[in-house]
Amino acid sequence: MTASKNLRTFLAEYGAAFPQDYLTIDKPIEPAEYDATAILEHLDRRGERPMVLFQQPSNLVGELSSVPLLMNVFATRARCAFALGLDPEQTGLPLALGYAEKGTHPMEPVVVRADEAPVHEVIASGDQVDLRELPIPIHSEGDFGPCLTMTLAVKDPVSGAYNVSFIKAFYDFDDPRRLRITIHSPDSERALAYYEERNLPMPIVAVLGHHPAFYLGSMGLTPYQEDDYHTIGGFLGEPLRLTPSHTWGSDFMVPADAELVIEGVVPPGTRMIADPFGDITRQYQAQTLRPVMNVTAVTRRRDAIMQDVFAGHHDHFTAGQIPKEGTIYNTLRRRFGDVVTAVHMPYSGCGRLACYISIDKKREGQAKTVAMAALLEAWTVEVCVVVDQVIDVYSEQDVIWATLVNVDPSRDVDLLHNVPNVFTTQMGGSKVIIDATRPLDRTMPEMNRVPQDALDRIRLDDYLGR
Amino acid sequence: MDRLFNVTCTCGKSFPVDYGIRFADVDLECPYCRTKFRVEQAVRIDERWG
Ligand SMILES: [Zn+2]
Repeated sequence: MTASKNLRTFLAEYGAAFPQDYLTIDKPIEPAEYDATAILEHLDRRGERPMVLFQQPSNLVGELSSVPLLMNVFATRARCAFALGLDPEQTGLPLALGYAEKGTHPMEPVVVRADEAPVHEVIASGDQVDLRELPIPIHSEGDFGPCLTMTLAVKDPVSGAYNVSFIKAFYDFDDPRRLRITIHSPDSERALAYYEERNLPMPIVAVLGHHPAFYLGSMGLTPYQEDDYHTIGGFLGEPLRLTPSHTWGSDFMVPADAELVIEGVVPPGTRMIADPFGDITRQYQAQTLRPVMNVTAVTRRRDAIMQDVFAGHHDHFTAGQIPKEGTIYNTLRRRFGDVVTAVHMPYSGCGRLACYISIDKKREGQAKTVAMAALLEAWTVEVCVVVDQVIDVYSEQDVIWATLVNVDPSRDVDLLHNVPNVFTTQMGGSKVIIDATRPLDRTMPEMNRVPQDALDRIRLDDYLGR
Repeated sequence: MDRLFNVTCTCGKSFPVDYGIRFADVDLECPYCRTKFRVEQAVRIDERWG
């Protein structure tokens, strides 16, 4: 029987297919002294975004950690495509659509006995827990402190559905068995509200290493009561294996093939200071009060690898960008048919703030209705730019060119004021629609072009002597 | 947009704080030196918005 998909099956497959895109760093590093993010930043500035495994990171007391640290897994669209079992050569619309399609095939998870689950090979509970043993990075200068950046899972107390979402968890300098967690997704906030109204502690687990399809699947825009453990199976292409948690048994299931799981409870009504954090918009999230997680157990594989996101960089942008593109495209196609030809959430907008849409425009003004529908679907978007089908939405240069030559600001730019904001940007709280399509009701110069018959006639190699 | 303000700690470093806790009965914590202090104990408070 082949092994169920997990982080190490992915590392083996990806390393075999793209060895040059998977770096292993043997030299000791100190993640809490910015060593990991400094290495990734150097690479990023060279335009290189490999997946990086730090074999010898130190833990939070400065000793060599027994747990290696893996970062930048999601930093390229090609790598995400490979992780999803899609063609890594097709990083444009086919990737977004392939993602969206996988979200429509939930699979019932299968259950593995607790004593047979790899994630239970090593268990520390109660007083044995010490989060300082983990190689938790500090990402940006001025961050509150070491921060875990992967997903947390909560269980809806009414439906029993699990919700998995990326939630920051700061190491707590006052208590090595506590994390300060930035619950902010609508689903996890709703679950927390249920428990707090009843003055009950909420069970919660952090999943710090699994197949990347597990995490990408958790980013799908699914309704609240759909169980993310089922949805994730669709992305893995096989049922997710679950096992009873150490703390709650079968009342709360955890991914059996995870590398490392932190189990804990969120005490009702407790809020403590957390942040700043250099977050998704490449700006600092301000210090504020956050819920906390009192850790009850840390369970892991014997040779666990801890995964982390290079926050405020491509690793962070891409993981959210692909799911949103596919969802927006499908929504717009249902409403407008084949008028809508492509959707992209560009890196300039951190994969969240801007949406570029191309259309096969049939009537003047059509771009505006498409943009309005996109804004309703994509709640993080502040600026929606609609271009003609001939413009490649993945080329920021072409989209901005279309904006500069086609837009008459007096009629093609619209502003919605006083909309609930998502991010702390000057534009947050407003929405901007830009119709950058060629006007059909005004005469415009044509775009320059070398004749197609000349392009067909001339073979470059004949002239370059290759 | 959400309002925030900047505080300067006795260590000389500044960091942003959410306006939602401007008057909360809580200590801020400096991410640079881990000093805990009330907003009004900040060396400097910088709150500007239009
Ligand atoms: Zn300080």
